[in-house]
Amino acid sequence: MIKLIPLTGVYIPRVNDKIICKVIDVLMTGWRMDTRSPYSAVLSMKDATSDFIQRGADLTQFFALGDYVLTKVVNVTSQKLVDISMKGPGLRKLRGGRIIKVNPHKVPRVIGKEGSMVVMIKQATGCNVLVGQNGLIWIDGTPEAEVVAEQAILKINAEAHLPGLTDRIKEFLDKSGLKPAAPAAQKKAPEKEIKKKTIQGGKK
Amino acid sequence: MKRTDGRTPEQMRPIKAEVGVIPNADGSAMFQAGNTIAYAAVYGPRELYPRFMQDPKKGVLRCVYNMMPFSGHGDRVRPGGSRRSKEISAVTESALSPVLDLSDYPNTVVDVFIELTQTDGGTRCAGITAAAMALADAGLKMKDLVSAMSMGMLDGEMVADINGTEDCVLGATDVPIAFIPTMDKISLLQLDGEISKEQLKKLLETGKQKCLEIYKVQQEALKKKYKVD
Repeated sequence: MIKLIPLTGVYIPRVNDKIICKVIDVLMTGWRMDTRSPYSAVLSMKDATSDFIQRGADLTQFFALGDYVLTKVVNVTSQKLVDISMKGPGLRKLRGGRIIKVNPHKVPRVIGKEGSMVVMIKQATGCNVLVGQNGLIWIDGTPEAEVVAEQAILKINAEAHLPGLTDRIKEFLDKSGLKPAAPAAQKKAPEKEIKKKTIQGGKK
Repeated sequence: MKRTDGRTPEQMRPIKAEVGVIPNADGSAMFQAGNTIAYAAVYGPRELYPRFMQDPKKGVLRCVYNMMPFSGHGDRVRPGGSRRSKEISAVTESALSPVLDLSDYPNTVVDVFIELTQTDGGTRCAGITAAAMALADAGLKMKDLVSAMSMGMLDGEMVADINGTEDCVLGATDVPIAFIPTMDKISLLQLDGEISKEQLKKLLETGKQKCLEIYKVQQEALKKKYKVD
């Protein structure tokens, strides 16, 4: 028995993966989500929110078509019917920022050992970064910082199989020209987080 | 015997392979033998509709072979499918399916599009060779690559890698072969013309050797994609 780890390929949903999904259809009792795999997933109403939703209510006021949501895979059948949930810490609808795509097989390298790589990018750019196991990544920060973070992540995606990755990414981030602006960006970052919290609170 | 393009009977045309030529595809490759150029693009595994085409046990392989309108030497090829392209699509599918394991992807389809931008004989072989590389580039589970070569008989003599003139004008016997090296199996064997049993046996042996040469080029091309200097 040989086990191979491919350099590339599609994402196949697995239980407990945190993935970023896109709403592609609104159903009678939930939403159909694109998981960036051959199989779409269903987010049922009761797994989406603890709010009371009236029968026949317009579900698009929670998630409209095209919205991106951070979710968790709760069940995958042998025929790859996928159920996802939003009940868990940090699972939420993604507002603002940008979504980029990377090879799902390179996601562990984007995250790094115990999140070291993604933390490095976050600190260097002051961006908020969320990495889905399906290779969708959400970046939110100042426009300049977002561009640098995006370039860094795409660089990881292209060079993940070569040795000395962390050093190269570190060098790239140092050279990015964001350094003089970095303290300002870092100062801004906490402000932004506070703002975001108030937005979320307001929506609730 | 001298051939139309000055080759010796068992000499192949210069070949070139490149992987990852189509960024939008999940896997892609280009294969060139002389003046024949094939591009293959793989999309998927992805959702398959209409639903009755789905297989709940494994993924489905779907190949499309297409010669571009400007690709030939003579008249413009009418765009769209023809009886010929349909047949070649089908044999490409059966040539590639023995190496492919799609049991991990039930109810899905893997689409392989083979486009020929320039044709000069041996197009189905170039297509299969390119498609095998593109499937590997897409990260699909494969037992091996498939290498293909068009062998033939010209004036009673065995020739390798038949070109368009030899096939259409000189009327050579045309024997396209697709070979799976590690399994030592032939997954495509067609015959157009006359040949004796002994000649065919000898031709198959030589054909396998030629396929191995292509196999090496395929492997090199796949490795080259992941080299960064």
